[in-house]
Amino acid sequence: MKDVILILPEIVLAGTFALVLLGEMTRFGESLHLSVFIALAGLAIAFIETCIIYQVGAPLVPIFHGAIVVDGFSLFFKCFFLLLAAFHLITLPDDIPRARLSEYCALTLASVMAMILASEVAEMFLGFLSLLFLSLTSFFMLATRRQSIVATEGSMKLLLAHTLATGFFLYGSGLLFAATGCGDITSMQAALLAHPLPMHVQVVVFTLFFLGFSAPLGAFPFSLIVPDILEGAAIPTAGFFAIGSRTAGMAMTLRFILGIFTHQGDQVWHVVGDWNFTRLIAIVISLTLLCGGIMATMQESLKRMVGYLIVAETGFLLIGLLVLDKIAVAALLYNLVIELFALCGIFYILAFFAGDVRGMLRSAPFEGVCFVVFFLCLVGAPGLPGFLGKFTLIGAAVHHKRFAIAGFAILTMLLGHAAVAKLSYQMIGDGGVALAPSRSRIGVLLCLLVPLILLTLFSDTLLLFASRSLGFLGGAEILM
Amino acid sequence: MKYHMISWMVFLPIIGTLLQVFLPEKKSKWLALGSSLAASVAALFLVMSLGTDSADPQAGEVFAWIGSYAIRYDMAVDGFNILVVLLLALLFPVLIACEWTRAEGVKGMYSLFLLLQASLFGALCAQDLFLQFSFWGLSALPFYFLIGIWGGEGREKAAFRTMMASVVGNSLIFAALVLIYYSLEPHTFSIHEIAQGAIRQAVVPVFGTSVKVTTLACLLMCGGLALRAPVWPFHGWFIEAAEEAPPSVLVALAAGVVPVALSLFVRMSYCLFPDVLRAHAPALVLIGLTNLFMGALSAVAQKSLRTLLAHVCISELGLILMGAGSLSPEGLVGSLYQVLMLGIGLAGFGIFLSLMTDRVGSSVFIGTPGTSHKLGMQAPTIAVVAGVVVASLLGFPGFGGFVGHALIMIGGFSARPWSIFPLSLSFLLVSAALFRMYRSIFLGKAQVSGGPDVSLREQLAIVPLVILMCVCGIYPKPFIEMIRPTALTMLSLLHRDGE
Repeated sequence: MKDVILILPEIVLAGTFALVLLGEMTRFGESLHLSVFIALAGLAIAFIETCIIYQVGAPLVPIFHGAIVVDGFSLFFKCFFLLLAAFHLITLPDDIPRARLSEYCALTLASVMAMILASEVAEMFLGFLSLLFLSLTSFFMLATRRQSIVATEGSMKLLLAHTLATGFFLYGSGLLFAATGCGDITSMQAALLAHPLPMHVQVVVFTLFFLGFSAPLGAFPFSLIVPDILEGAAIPTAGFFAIGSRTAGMAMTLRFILGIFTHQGDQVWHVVGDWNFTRLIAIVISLTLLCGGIMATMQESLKRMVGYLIVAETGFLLIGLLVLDKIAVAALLYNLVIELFALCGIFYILAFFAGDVRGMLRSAPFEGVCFVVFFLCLVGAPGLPGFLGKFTLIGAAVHHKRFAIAGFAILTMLLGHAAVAKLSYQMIGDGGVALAPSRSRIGVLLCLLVPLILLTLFSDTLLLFASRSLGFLGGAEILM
Repeated sequence: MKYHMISWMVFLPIIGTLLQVFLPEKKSKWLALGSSLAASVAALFLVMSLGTDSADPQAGEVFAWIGSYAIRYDMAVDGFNILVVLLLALLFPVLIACEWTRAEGVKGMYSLFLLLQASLFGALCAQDLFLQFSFWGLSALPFYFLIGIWGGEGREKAAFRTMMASVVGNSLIFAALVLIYYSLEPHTFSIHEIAQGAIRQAVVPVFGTSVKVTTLACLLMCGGLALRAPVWPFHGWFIEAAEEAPPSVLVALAAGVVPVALSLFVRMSYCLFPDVLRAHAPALVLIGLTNLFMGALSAVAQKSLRTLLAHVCISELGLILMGAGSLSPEGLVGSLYQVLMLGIGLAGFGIFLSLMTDRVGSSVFIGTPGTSHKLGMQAPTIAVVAGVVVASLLGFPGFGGFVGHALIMIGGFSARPWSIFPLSLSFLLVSAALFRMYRSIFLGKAQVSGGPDVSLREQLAIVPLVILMCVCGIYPKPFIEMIRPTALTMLSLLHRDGE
């Protein structure tokens, strides 16, 4: 019974998903569409339940025989995904036909369930299934504009990349299962501590694992297709995918890599075995950062530029994993929250201007200023909360003597600013899309902007919340 | 201080900015002026209440901000920043008054000016490096919009270059910040704690060799500030911004940001990196002299008031760097005093530029037929104002600039006698440039109609600056008393550590 209570938010989501599908099947030309409201109500109930579980205190025990862990970490991500989905449904893309609204709502709910599952899974086989679930839901969402060749190409690239990555993960899991004889991450860690793998096996297993997570993360080499995927999709869908899928990938990466390949120290994690896998992560980070930063400055298409900026962000986030430090992982979570607001704002405004921001500062000054502020927040401009986020991650790299990574990160910050300056350059002057003033649009933007400003003033609260959410970092004894 | 005057000074303009959203356009100018003036009153209260018998930071306000990273909201005033606080208190209401008649996008422009005022006040008073950098970084943002939206024909490029210079500068300072923070145990951003000296022992590996953290951090920080200041040869963006920005924005840049950057540089070099400063003082003097000479030489060739202002600014900031590098009491006090006079002088010059642009429609004063205006008889008040500004910038006795120039020359001569010769040559060049401009615009028989003399609103904007220029020249004692204790204490600590 306890197991069921702890996954009540997921049950509510599944019920809502069923209701929306039922509504879609029984619909017969009615003009009133309740599917969005039903979906939003389901998300709200799931959010409240998640908050109650968080407030009461998650028991930090695995449920369903160790397949799932409901701890502060997974609850943090659950809140994150529910908020993201609610925002996405409130600002649904206009180009979705009314007849397909229920289908789109159902897909959104399915995606959220996939993301939540990815954040709480603690067993290899279920991990594989959650990666597949995530790939499929992302594919279907991105392919909603199937009449567009670019969208179809992007979604196919995503499916292929994710399938390939899931295959890597499966091979890695298989090797690890063969070596340890167990499937859940806690037992695997214990087995690896008792009998470390030979170095060459360790290299292969970790590389396969990391490649498996690289696709949802958008890390190098999969970073090269991220802009293609985003370019084809409807802009709000691209935003939902760019934030959600990547964050789910990050949650899974953290849980699996820290849970299996490291053991808990006082403030840091120590690598299990002879091979220091952080070298591989450092190379991936450097390439991801530089690929994102340099390519972002070279783009003519706004959507592609955002895509590369997101890639660079992934590089920044991975610094939190690289240094294997509690404070850095908390900083990573902090950055994810900042990104949530900043990217939602960017994609929301972008949807209205269809990628053409020429003359935006004159035609829609409020939206223009918000757009620049969201971008500056994303790239870490001083005085905005994104800056503290970048400082915490780059600082962690310096603290652990990763000076080269810190240098790359600062260079990428600089390139990110250059890309934003280039974008802002287009926003000055005349031309572009003329937009009628809208109070609802200003309201939505204020809903994103005000939390960002508050996060600047009360950064510590969010940092503490992030630290407290790292329940699973207590190590094996807590998970047991 | 129980009244939290610094916080009022910093946050009143921000409140004004936020309120702009809710008020109709007609009332926005009054709100902007009101909130800017209210902040200035708080600033003047701070200036008046500063004790002149102590070098310690005063009116301090300290709260924990981001406890996880030992980041504090730590604000105070002392001899390093008090005169610049006074400068900004006078400058921003004047700038808002200068834009009183603007018809297009006034709410946006006033909001950006208020944001700029708040961020510069914040950067100036912050005693925590993270807080200081947050404000300083924020101060770059308004310029992008101010130049990009309200600038001239080439505003896109000018705004882009201004932003990029700020971004590169900020990145360098950010790198220095991270380096300093993680070199200290326990980690701290507090300027006072860092100044205790623990950082001087720290080293960092660079390509296999150990480099002192202070040397590297000082280099990064000075590079960052030099880009924003703008020190020669990193001044290209500044000239372009001067050509394209509206006059009020140019004044904010030259008389607001440059003095704050110089003030931060002096504070950082004396408080955080005294060992580096001691070792590299001759280099600083050389950089100062180069700026002084190159600025002066370029000023002679200018035909537009805008670029003339920019080059005079570059030249004058060289003088301040030279004073700071002299490591003598006269030089340092003169530098800190000259920061105020540079700001006041350039603000006056900028307003003169604004008056001329409004009346003759161009800032070009020589070169093409009809641009030699000879407006002395038509607009006598403008001629007098321009005369006072030129006299103060050139350091004529009886005007504010004289005291600063004299102190820096005395300090410079006692420390490095050879520096006087290039310095005198540069003064001659600047004098030639400014007198040529004055002769071309005001003296002789009028060729074109120059429009009316100054209105009451314009007089109200100019008068405080002219009064301050004269008061600072005739009776500089109260101002010097404010900065002297801090300057002398810092110098004695610097020399004591050196022994």
